[in-house]
Amino acid sequence: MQAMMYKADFMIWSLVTVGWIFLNLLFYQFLYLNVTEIAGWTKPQLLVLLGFYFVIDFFLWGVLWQNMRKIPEIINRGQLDLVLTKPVNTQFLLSFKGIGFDDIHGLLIGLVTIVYALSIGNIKPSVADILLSTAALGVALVYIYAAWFITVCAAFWFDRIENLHLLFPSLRQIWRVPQPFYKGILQKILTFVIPATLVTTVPAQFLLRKPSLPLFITLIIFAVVSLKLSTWVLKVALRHYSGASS
Amino acid sequence: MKQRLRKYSAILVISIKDAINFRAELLLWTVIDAMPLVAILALWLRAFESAPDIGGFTRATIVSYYLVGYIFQDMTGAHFEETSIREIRDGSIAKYLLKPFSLQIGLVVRELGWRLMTFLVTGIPFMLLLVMFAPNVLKLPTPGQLLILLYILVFAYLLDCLYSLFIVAMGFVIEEAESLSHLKWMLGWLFSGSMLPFEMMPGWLAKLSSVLPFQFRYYIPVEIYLGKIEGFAIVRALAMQMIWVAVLSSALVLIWNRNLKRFTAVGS
Repeated sequence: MQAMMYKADFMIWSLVTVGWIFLNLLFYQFLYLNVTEIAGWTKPQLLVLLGFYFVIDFFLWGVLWQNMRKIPEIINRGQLDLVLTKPVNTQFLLSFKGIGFDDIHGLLIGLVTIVYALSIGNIKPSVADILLSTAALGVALVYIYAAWFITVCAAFWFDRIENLHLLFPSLRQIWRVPQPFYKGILQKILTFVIPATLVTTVPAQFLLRKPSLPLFITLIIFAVVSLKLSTWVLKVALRHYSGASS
Repeated sequence: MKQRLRKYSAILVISIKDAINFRAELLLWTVIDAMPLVAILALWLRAFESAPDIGGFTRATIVSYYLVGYIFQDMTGAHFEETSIREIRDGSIAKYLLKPFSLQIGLVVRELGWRLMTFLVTGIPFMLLLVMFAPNVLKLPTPGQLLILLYILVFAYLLDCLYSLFIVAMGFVIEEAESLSHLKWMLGWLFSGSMLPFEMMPGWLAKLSSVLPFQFRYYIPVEIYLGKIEGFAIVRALAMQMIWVAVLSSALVLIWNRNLKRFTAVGS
């Protein structure tokens, strides 16, 4: 509704979204002019992963961004009192109050990129592969949501860090590159400590017919634990919160 | 002149104090800015496993290219446009317009304080760690190189401030001027050499990038540091940079004055 009301905004931000997508595609296009494959990943395979990156970007900027950026502001200005008095789950209200569709193009282009990459790579996933890939994407989105919510909850304790809400989404640069590209201790950290590399790699691997069950299980564990932890962190934080409104 | 200098040095001191106050935020920005570097280095290190030479770069030189480029980019970036546009929208910018100093110069000086602190808090320690633990990746530049780099980077910072000031000037007349910041970042990524060194771009894009001003924040200083640009090519680059500074400054004065006339604010 909001997007329809502010048509100029919608158009401008849509152009920004499409511009970034175009540049990302251009980067891999140019990169593969210089190499034929990287760590066993061909251009179509990497484009499948990039398609998931675009889909996740829609979830990050379209669905979560408007809410996550407001949470530290709501806490610091004492406006949380208003949220707490409402008869709706506080975490739900804080997380999904406003949903924008400025980035809907990202979702569509992401899906088109995946289909296009599969066709040029002559990769034919089965129905089971598609279902598993969709499930893995769902799990990845749960992890992203919960981990981001936990990081913005730090605003309950650190009220002067205005860019706190940008910390988690900055990890998207990490998941723009497949997990096998990272090596050694860095790969272990980005898989088993902050599993940022898994959010695009696991869904892409199912479609590319080279699934890794241990990585999928790792992602599921992190998603479940993070979701539980996010609820717990909010509960603890609310005990710490004293309100500041008039 | 003395009085002017005193005014702007006061702004610089305030912004340095601000940056010290918000040191946690400053450190967090460094972490956020370093994420693309981690990803791009991982990607290139893997790419060089199957090819020892790509576009005239070796594994070591490509790592140097992106590491040094990251430091230069961090030192020369201007980020004041979003705050200024918010101030234009809520009218609070009026208080600066009424003060006895140029808003444009004030913004450039205020940002300089943050850049200096970023360099002190993160740039220098980062470079020292690299020189100590990876001397093959990051070599100390010669005194001559250092002088040229300093010169280019000062004007690269000025160019980035000019792009930001153009966006602020547009904020006086259009609502969604914030989106223009993305345009600045996109053009910077594509044409500065931070996406790919010019040698790895298709010919037409490399040619286009080599006449645009975005190269002075990344490609040109990094190539000078790597010793790939020498002699007359440096002189040509310096001259081109000066021409861009002159052209963009003149254009800014015209656009700023025209758009400012259309700005109105009410209230305190």
